[in-house]
Amino acid sequence: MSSNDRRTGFFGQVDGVLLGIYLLLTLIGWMHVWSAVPNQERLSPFDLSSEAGKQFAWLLICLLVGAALLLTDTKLYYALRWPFYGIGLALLLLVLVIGQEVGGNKSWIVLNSFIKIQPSEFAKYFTALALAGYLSTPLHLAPSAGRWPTVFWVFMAPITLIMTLADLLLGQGLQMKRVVYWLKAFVIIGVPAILVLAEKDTGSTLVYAAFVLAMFRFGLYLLLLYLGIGLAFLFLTSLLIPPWILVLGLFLVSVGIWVLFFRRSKKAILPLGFFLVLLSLFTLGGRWVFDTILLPHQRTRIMVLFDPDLDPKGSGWNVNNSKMAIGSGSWIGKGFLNGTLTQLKFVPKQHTDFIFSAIGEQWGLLGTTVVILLFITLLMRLILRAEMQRSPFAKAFGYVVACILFFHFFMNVGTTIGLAPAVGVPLPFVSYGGSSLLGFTLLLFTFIKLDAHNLEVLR
Amino acid sequence: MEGRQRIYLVLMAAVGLIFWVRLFFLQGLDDRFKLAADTYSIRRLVNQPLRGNIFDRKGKVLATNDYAFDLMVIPLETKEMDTLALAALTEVPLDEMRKAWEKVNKNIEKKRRYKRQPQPLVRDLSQKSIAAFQEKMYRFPGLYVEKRSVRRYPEPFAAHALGYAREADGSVLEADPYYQPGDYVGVAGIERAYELYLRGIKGVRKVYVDVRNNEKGSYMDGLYDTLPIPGADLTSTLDIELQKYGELLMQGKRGAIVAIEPSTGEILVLVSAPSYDPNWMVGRNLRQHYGKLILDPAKPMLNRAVMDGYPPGSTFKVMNAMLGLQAGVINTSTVVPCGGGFRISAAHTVGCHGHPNADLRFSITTSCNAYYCHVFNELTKTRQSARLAYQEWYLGAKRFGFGTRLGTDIPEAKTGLLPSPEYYDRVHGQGKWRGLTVISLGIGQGELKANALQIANLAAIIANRGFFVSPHLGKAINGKSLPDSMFQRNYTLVDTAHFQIAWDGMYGAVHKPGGTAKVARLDSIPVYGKTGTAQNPHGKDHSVFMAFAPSNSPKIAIGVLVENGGFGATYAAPIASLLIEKYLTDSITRPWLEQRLLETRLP
Repeated sequence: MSSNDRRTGFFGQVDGVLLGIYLLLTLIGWMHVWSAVPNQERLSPFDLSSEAGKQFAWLLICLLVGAALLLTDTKLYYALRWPFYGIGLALLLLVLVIGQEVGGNKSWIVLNSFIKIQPSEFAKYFTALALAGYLSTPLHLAPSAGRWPTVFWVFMAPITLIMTLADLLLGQGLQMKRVVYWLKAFVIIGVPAILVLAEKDTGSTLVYAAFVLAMFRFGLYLLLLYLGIGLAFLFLTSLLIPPWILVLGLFLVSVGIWVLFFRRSKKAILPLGFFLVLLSLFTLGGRWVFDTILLPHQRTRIMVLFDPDLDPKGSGWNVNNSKMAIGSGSWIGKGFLNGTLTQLKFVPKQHTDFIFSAIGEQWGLLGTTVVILLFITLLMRLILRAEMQRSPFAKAFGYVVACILFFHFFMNVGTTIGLAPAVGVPLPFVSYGGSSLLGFTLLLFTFIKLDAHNLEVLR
Repeated sequence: MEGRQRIYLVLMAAVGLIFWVRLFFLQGLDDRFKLAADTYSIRRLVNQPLRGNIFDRKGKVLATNDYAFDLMVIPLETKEMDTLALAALTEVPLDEMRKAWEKVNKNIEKKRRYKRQPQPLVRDLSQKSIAAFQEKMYRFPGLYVEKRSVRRYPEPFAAHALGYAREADGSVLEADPYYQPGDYVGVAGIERAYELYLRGIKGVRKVYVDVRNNEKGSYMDGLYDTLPIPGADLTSTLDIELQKYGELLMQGKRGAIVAIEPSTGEILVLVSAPSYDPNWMVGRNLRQHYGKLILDPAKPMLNRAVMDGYPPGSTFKVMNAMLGLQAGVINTSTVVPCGGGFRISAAHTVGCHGHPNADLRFSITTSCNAYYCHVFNELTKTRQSARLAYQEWYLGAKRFGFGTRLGTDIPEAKTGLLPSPEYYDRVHGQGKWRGLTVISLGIGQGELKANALQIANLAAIIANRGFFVSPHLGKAINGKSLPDSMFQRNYTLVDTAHFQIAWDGMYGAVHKPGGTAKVARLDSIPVYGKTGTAQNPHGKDHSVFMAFAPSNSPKIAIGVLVENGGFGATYAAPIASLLIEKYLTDSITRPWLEQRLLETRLP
């Protein structure tokens, strides 16, 4: 059987599904970047002065880079993960110094009028390598906790507290080693995240949450996941109903959880009560943060999720027009290059963050279904392949890649159809933008390469 | 930990499914967005067609289109510019130019999107200043000149006949979905009557409009676009030279002249005095003049030629003579002793001027009141009840066009008043009135109301010996005659033969001793006329005259009404006479008469 065939060349055993979907999505992207301009302003898709032409050039570069990655020795990624991580941080620092502001984000290094790069897109890749490397050493093999400076603990106090409580609640007893293990992981993703936040690039910062998502596979407290989902839910509901009713509800739910799961364990009362207080504080505090700390435009960005007509000319504008464009596509769309709203630039940033609306208008439900199927297939394939990896590094890297892509997919498509707040992240492989295309290409092809040599790894 | 793989797979599948369901609703089931998307992005622009021209019967242009030039501005595209130079170049006073800019700036303050919208800076620039401006246009970015068509009337006459067109207002927009705000619509005279032909067909252009209201090319490459089709040209029946002369003669007076070609019903002249220049109803002029015209106590906007009018006076007697003959209550040799009047009762006598006893012919010539009181009185005795007899007379009179619109195409035409039996039932009570009660109808006074059109039409009936063609202003569309069916022949109930006596009587009035209208006499052409004096309870009586000429197939029938002009022979008859002479011989042999009329100013 071919899957057991150990014959490998330079390329190893490249996964056809991943490669095929990659090619399909990038072609779809290029096509729709080309379509998202008025007909009379549209140049040849290869014309380098147009966005479609630039995207094509970047696509060629990415294919070259992809080929180069497939020719690289797999050991190199693991070996060079820390230098790469260093380069990533250096780039992020550099952008803070010499970066230029484009569209409100100071996240661009402008090389010339033609090429400008966005280091945060590459930082994801380098962070992914570092984190995968770190996670490839499982908890039980990791060195003992060791001593950490007080500053570290102060910074990490909230998350430490939560993990400690989780340990207590699950009745596993406090394992300092485990807490420290995860704290280190948080530091690895936290440093670049903070640097990106300093660039005022909210979308790219939130992407670092995707790394946390990947960590659950390797033993991070699932409680954190539930907590995260719960908190997001709590936060959004606190905007709709008075916080004190929510707190009351939380109390009832806590009592319910105790009665259902922890009736016999008196010990659970304390941490559960503590969670209750914490959540109540979060609920009240979240509302307070929302009302007083968030800037008005950030507030409306969230509120339009509930009421798209809230600010139809302002924050709701992009999302409303995007929904209108997608909705007007109907079942099979208006036909390629016949997207009236797309051509008329009704949807701002349509070739970047709102490319999905161009597809939705021109191809209708048919087109959006295909794109969603392609993405879900890609993501599940990544998870399935990652799970099969013999090398712990490749496995962790696979999960990280899947989670990053998933997060982007969720936020991007969710925004265009009004299910997620508009934070501004690109749709992987599809959105216009050389840096992001190259960043995602690096992530995917590195995994494809690792996966291609999976069978060579000795068990 | 291996089991946690499932969490990821479930999470991803769930998100995919949620997104798909959302899209299914958004794209498949909800069609709110489809409608909105279309109205947002495709704009229907109307290309206004040129309005059709109007010609007189000899092909002279009466109404046509001119271009007006507006100086337009797109504020966003303007740079700092020299207002002084701009004002000088466009010949607009600096003051006005500054104010215009202030207005534009105020608009922008109100709504930011006005910054991108073209708007007029100064309207109606002269051709000359436009040329000067266009040479230097490069110095004024954001400014350009836009051409639009406006109505122009080369001859400043016939305002009431031509009517006018103006921007469709609320009631028009509501009544007819064809009209959109900004469209022009004929609201009076020919402009209104032939609106359907004159307006043409609007062209439509569908264009894409982007989010900033900028045009982005045509929809479907112009597949659904249509070119505007200009309105049809209308030839009217008016003779503008004669019209001009009529207006000239009426200057300084109030009243109306209508001249008709008897055989066709074509209206040659339709004068209502005082009048105004039809160009005053256009564009900039309208703002300037409309208020004044409306407030003028002389009511220049009122079309006196077709209004409800005044009693027709003695002109009415000719019709009564015809009805009397037809009913058999008199014959051509019936003589009625005049004796200075007709005694209604011991206390009331309808007076008459002194003249020999009259037979029928002479009664017309000399306009004997007693004769026609007698005729009318006899007419009301032909049936067992006065009401029944009156009913018969009423129907007969109606066939002469009184109390009707005559089937004319003049939109403003009124019916006047011919009292029906029911009218008198209401006024006097049923069964409480008889012939003598309403005897003044016999001599054309009383409740009667008629206008110059109806009086001219009466002259035409007599000229035609018993019928009239509905008098009208429209003659041909794009050179093709209007169908005869539009203006039908209307026959009176009087036999053709009876009309000879009317001709004789009217000939006598102009040419014979004892005639009331000898001033209307022409040396070269026989004129048939009848004077009238409309009693006016509010002041001096109105002067009325009707006539036709020549004897061999009459070419012109005319009705003249001069308010407060006194006897028919004083003003109305000479005016009619001059017009007939001018029309038939194209010359004036009595300059002294003309002079007298031109100099007359009536209060």
